[in-house]
Amino acid sequence: MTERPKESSFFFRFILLQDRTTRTLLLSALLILGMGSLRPQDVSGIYYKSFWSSKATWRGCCDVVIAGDSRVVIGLSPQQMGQFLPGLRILNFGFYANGYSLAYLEAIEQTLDTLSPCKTIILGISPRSLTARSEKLNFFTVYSQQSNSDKFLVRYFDTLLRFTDPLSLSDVWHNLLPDEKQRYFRQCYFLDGWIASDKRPLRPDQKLDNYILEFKDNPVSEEIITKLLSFVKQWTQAGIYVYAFRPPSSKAMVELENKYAKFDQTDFVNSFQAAGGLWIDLDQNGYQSYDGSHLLSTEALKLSEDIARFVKRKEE
Amino acid sequence: MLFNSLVFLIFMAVFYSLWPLLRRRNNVRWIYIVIASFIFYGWWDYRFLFLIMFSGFIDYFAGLGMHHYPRRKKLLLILSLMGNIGSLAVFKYLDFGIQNLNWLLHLFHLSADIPQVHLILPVGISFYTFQSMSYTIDIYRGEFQPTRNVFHFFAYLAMFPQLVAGPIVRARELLPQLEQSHPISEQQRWEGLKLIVYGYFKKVVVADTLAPVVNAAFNASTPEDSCSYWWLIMIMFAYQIYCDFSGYSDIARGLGKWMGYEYPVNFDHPYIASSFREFWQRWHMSLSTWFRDYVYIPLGGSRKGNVHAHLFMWATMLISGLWHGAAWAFLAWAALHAFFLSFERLTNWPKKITRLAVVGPHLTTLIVFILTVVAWVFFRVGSCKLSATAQMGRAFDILGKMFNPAHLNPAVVDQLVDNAAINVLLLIFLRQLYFHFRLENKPWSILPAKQRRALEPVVLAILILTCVYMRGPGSAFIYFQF
Repeated sequence: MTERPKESSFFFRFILLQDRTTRTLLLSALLILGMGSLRPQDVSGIYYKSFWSSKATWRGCCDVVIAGDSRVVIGLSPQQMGQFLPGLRILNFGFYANGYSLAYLEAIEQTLDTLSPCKTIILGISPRSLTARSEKLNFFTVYSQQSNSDKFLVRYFDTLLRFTDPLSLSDVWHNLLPDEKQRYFRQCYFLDGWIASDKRPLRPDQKLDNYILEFKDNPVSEEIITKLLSFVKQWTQAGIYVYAFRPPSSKAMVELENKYAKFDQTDFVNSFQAAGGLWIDLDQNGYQSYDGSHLLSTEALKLSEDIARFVKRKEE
Repeated sequence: MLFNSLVFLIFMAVFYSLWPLLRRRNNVRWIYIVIASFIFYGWWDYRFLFLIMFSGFIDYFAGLGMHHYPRRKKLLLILSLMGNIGSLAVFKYLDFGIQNLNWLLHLFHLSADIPQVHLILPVGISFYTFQSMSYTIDIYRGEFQPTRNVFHFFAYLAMFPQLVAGPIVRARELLPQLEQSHPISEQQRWEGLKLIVYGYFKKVVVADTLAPVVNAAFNASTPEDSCSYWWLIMIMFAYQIYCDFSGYSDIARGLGKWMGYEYPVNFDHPYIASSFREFWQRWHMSLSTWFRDYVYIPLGGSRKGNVHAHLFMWATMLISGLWHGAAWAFLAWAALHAFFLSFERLTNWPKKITRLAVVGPHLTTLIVFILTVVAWVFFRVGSCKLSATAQMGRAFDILGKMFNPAHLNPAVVDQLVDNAAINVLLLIFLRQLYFHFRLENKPWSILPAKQRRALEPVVLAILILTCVYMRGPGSAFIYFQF
C-alpha cells in the first residue's frame, strides 16, 4: 500500500519550490511577463476589444455619425473632422468587413442623439459593403451580439486581456530592432472610432487578388441597395442630413471593384441623390493607400479634413 | 463556460483553492462539486440545468427503484431509457425528423408542410445523457449498487471537467472514486498539469489556428477548384477535430487528476492506426466502448455468426453517426466507416499489406489515414448551414475536386492558406510521425530521470507561454454541438 501524501507536505514543497507544478507555473508566469513586456507599445489608443465592444453599444450619443466598412474605420478621424466642424459630436461607427444590414442601418440612426439640432449621417459606400456576404459576416454582428460575460471581461479585465493578447515572435523581433519598426504594420485604436493604420513597405497591389476572390459569386446586391436607399429617404424626410462617398483606395481597386462586384457608381449616385442624399465626389487617386484598399493614417487625416470641409460648406 | 476562456481560468482558480478545504467530508465534497458544476454549465444557459436535473432524477430514482423492486426493474429501465432518449429526440432530432417527414410527404404529393421547431441544442446533451443511461443499465445488469445519496449521484453526472464534451465516464468507474477523499500527491498534480497544458496546446494553438482556414474553405459559396487545396484542407480538418476533441479530453482528465480522480483515456494517437478496427480503438474510446457495451454486444455482437456481426456493426455505426449530429451527412460518414470496417473484416487487407517488406506497416497506416480523411468530408459538411441535399451535394463536389488531379491548382493554396496554419500542421504531423515510428521508446529519446525532472518543467512552461501568446483565433470546442 502506498503512503498517502500529507496536506502539509504540499505547503512545504510549495514554499521550497520542490513541487514541479509550482516550479512550472512560476517559470511560465515569468516567461509570460517577459514576452508580454516585449509587445510593441502604442503611445496612444485603446485595447482593440474594448474599442469594438464599446463601439457596438453606442446609442443616442452624437450629432454626426460616420458609417461603413474597414475603409471608413481606417479612413476617417472624427477628431480631425471636429476641427472643421466645431461643436459637433462626431463618431466613426464603421466596422470591419461591414455591410449595410437592417440591424446596422437601424443602429446608425440610433447612434444619433435624438435632441441634436444638426443630425448628420455620412455613409462610406464601398462595393463590398453592398454585398450579401458583408451583410451577414461582419464585426458589427459579432460585437453587437457579444455575451454579457464577454462584455464584463473586456470592461474590467482589459489590461490583462491586452497583456496576454496573441503575439508572434515576429512582433517581438520587429519591436526589438529599430530598423525593423520602419517595415511594420501598426494600428492604433481611438475612442472616437477611428483606427490609425500604417504599414511599411507600401504595397498598393496587395489586396487586389483578395478582392477578386471576395467578389466571386458575391457581387453587389440590388436588394441591399434598395434597402439602404429606403433608409436614406426615410432619414432625409425626417430632417437628417445624409452624405455619402466612395472611400478612396486606388485606381486599380476601383476598376477591379466595378468589374468584379458589378458596381455601377453613376447609377447608385443618381438613386442616392433621388432619395435626398448628398454625394461627395472624391479623387480616388488623391490619397495614398498602403495595400490598395486602406489609407495611411496621414492620408486618413487629409480625407477627414476634405469631408469635413464639404459638410461644412453644405451646412452653411 | 469554455475551458479556453478567462472566466473558466478564474472559476478554476477559485474551485481548486477551496477544494482542499471542502473535499474532506463526503456530503460537503459532493455538494461542492454539484454547485460548481451547475455554475460551470449554467454560465452558458441556466435554463438547461433543469434538463440535466430532469435527466438525472429519472436515472437516480430508476436506479433506486430497481434496487428496491427487482421484479419491476425492466419496466424501470424502459422508463429511464425513454426519458433520456426522449429528451435527446426532442432537443436534437425533432427538426431532423420533421424535415424528413416533409420530404416524404412531398414525395407522395402531400403538401402538408410541418413547421420546424428550432429548439436550442443544449450543450453536451449527448454526453451527459449517455453517461446517465450507463448508470441505470449497469444497475439493471447488477454490475453495481445504486447510490442513495442524490448529491453523490449528481456529483458523478454533472462533474464539470467532463460534463459537456466527455470523456463519457461509467458510474462504476467514477462513483466509487467520489467516495474517496485523500490529498493529491505531487505526481498526480504534475501529471494533471501535463495533461492540462498538452490539452490547451492542442486546442488553442493547433485546432484554433487551423479552424479559420478550414471554416473559410467550407463557408465559401462555391468550393475552390483545386485538388491540392482540398487535400490540404481536409488533412487540416482531420487534425483540427482531433486536437480540438482530444485537447478537451486531456484538459478534463488533468482537472480530474487535480481533484484526485482518474478519467479513462479517450484518444490514443488515432491517426497512427494500421486498421479501421484499431482506429476505433484509439478514437473517442469512451464513446466507442459505450456503443460496444450498450448497443453492439446487446444486439448480439459476433455471437450470432458473421453476417449478423456485420449487420450489428453497421447498426451500431449508424447510431453512432446519428449521435454525432442530426444530419444525413453524419449518417453517410458513419456508413462509410462501417463499409471500411466490413471490407476490412472480409478481406483482412491491413494484415496482407503489412506483410510487404519495409513499407508494408507504413503503407497500411497511410491508407487508413487517407480513407479517414476522405470520410471526414461528410462529417465536416454535416456542420455546414445547408439543406440535407445541399450538404450531400457539397460533400460529393469536394470529393470530386480532391480526386481530380488534372486541377491540381496549387496557387490556390498559396493564396488562401495562412502560413501559421501550415506551420502548425507540420508540427503536429511530425509529432504523429514520432509516435508512428515509436521514437518515444528509442534509447536515445529517453532522458535519464534526473535530466527529465529538470527539463520537463521548462518544456511545459514554454508550452504554456505558447498557449498564451500563440493561440489561434478559433473559439468554441467542436464537440460541444454534439
